[in-house]
Amino acid sequence: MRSPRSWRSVLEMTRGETVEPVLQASGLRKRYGDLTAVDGVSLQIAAGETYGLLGPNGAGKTTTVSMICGLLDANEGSVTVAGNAMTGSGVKAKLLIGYVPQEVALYLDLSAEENLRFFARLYGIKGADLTSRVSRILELVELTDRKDERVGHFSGGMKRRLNIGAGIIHDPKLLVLDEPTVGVDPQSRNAILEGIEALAASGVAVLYTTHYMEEAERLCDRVGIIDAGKIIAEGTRRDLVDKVGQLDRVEIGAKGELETFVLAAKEVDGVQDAATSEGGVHLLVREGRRRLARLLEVAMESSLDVSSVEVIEPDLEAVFLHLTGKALRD
Amino acid sequence: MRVAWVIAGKELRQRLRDRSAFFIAFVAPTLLAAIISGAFGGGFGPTFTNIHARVAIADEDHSQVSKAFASVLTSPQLRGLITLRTSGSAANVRDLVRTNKASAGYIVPSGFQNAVTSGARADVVVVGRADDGFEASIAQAVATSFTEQVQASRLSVFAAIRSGASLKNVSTLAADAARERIPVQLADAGLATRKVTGADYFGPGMAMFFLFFIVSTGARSLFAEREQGTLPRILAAPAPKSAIILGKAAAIFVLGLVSMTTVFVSMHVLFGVHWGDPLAIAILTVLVVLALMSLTALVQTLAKTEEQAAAYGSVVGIVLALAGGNFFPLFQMPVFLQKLSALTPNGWALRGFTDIAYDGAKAANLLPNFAAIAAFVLICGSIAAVRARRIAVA
Repeated sequence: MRSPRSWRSVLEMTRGETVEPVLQASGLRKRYGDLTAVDGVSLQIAAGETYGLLGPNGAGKTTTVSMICGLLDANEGSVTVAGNAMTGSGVKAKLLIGYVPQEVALYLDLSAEENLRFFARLYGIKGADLTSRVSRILELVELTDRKDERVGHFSGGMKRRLNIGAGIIHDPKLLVLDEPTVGVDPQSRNAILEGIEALAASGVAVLYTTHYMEEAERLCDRVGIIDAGKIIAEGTRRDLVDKVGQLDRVEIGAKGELETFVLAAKEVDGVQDAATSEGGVHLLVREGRRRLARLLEVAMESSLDVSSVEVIEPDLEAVFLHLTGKALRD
Repeated sequence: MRVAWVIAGKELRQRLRDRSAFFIAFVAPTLLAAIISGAFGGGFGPTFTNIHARVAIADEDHSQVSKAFASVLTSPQLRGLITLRTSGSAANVRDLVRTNKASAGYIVPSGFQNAVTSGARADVVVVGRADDGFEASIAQAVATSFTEQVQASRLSVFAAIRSGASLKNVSTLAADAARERIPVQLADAGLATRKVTGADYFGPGMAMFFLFFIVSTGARSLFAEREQGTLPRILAAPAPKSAIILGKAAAIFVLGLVSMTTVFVSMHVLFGVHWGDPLAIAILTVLVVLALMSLTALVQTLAKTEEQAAAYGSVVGIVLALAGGNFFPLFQMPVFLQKLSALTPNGWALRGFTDIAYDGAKAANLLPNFAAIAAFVLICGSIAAVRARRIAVA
């Protein structure tokens, strides 16, 4: 797959200015009998912003996405895309959405080019514009040389790339990706994530659902943590970490008077705990990076021979665990 | 409408790329029609040029009348139709028929002539096999013709005597009466005047049978779309749900029409079948394709999975093909099955096709057929349309 810079250059050829916010979802609720699958979910995404909907399997991510894309009617709530309401057939709103389902939603008995042509035509693209867009997307997903091959013959990674290509062929303002990297090898996953970063950089609003914490941390400007159909926390990763009061871990690899250093370090402002470990010391510190310079001064004063320093900030996995009492991948 | 065309185009591309679908739509119906037609030797209907009955007779009466009956069977008029084999006993005749050494048999019982001359009941027993309808029917018809002739002669003599004719001239009167033939003769009565051949019956019969599978495969594609994840992607596009159904239906319709047309053309080329009035054929073909589409759509809406849809489609297709006469000519079927076929669109269509091919029926003559099939389309299609909304959303 192309590098983010390449994606951007290709996409910028057709994209214009976008009015914010692109997606406005308010109070979405979906019930199946006694089960409330989605319970009052609200979110908005601006142009160029990537919003991650993070939650375990069964949390309500796909149901939320289905309502946003007009696949499911919400029992309550509303969705607008660039000011166009997703009501009735929602044609105007749907024209602005690119949807990449969790499964590889392609026709395996058709070629890559035939698939792209079909999905483009669904959005009313035709003639020279159709040919141009199909060529552009084939180039983008690096399948130009294999455009005439049946998709059924493609590798998993190639299918995933084409799957995303089919979702952006009509230049959507909002790209909705429902766990697009499930079952993808690390190399292909990285390529896909790069592509999404490039799309966001080109001004596309991205709604990205995942239960992979590291993907959400890498891609998303803001994250909504969803559990049991409700968004239980929302914000940037730093916001979320601060919200739950998690501490940074500072690991110092060192030799020398470790116990002396531990005692001195505990006196440093922001240090909550310190202890020796095999080959060094580990500390629990509020705003670890900010305290790092002072901690190194104390280490020198304690005559430590420091070989390495690492600040490990709390991740979304820890936040999720704190908020729900269960692991993200349970 | 634009989206429906896009979907129809995609469907057709997929179907034509699928070799099994291509085989079912074009090769199999023509091939099967040709094989079945060949099995009937180019004809199976009630025409003497195509049927030859091997008949056994046991004359237990050994009288003038019984010999006269045997001589009728070997007469020049029936020589091309019947080969007579004389047997010694009734049991022997039954055995010959049972072992298929004779397709039918006659037993002229002892006392037959006496019964004829005394005015008592006189029966010729006809022995036939249940699975050999035409030839037993021919034997029955010949016996009926003969006994009717005897009865007519007897009535003539009786009427003459009551009118004052001398009893001394009874034998002369009887001989004169016997020479007179009753107006309705075997060749004209009881058996159809049209020539029914295998090719022109089984051509449309097989085309319609395979049409069930074409339509069923197309209808199942909605389930396939859902299972492979492309249905949500289509529904996420600005495509009304009705356009998806319409697009798929249009593709099935085109494929069905092309399949039927292919069979008609190939049967014409291979077997020299002349189908008759093109307008009537066209209307009937369009209607039967619509009928099977609406029926299959209805059946598919009852299914929850692709496997269920396939099973339901196959069962309905085979039952309707059997009841509608696609495998066995309607006029060879028992009366209750013939009545049952009136409930099937393919039954109505087959009657229409045979009427066009054999009797030269025009479109105007087939209005009842058209109306029956159209009613079927409306009923099944309406119910299916209501139920299909649920499937598309699910």
